[in-house]
Amino acid sequence: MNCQTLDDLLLDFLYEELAPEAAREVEVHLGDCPACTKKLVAFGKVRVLAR
Amino acid sequence: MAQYQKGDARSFEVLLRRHERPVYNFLYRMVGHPTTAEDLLQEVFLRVIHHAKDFEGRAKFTTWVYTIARNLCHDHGRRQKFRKHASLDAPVSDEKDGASRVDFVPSRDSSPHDDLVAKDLMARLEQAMTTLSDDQREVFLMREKLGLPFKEIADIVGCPENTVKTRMRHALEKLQKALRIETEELARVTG
Repeated sequence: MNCQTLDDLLLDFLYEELAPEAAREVEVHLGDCPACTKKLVAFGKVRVLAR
Repeated sequence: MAQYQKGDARSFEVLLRRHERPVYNFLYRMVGHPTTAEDLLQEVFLRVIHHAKDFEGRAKFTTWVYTIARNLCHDHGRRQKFRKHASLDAPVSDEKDGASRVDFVPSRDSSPHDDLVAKDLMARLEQAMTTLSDDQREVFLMREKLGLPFKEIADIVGCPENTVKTRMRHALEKLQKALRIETEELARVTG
């Protein structure tokens, strides 16, 4: 999985709408990609505040 | 709903109890005024009653109800050109416990300074919410506050799922941007 593919799946992953297998692929990519992780965490922080 | 369509009036009471609070919260955050939200809530359920026979079981009941609610909000907006959003002081849960976003508790051992920072962030978030377009705000509320999946939101607003996700992403980016300068404080108060 590359960064573009992950970007397409980011919201589905963030809102837990991905199938388990796809979610695992995202997690593998996030483990190797600080930039994508940073983007995900930033959106996650907004979610925490908006609750 | 199927029972209500068959004439079981009590089943409507069950539906009403189940959906009244979340539908009200959605309406309130869309129109920004409690009395208007109450009026629209009554209208939503009146339409449910009047059009119950037209409801087709293929759609989820929640999809149908929020489609009605959204359309009423849009009609109201066109009439009033009223674009305020609900205050973040508004109740946020289904419980009538008075909890609001400004009651956000950063952490168990937060300092008074952290509490102030958290309240400041809430104020900034509230301000940022005003920058969202109606399209972005309704999608954000449906996904974040109502927990509706993107596919169902797409059915409600009548556009492709990818369009819904694009609006959601723009909403998140706007909110993130508005809060970006407090990154370090944000990290501390949200853990």
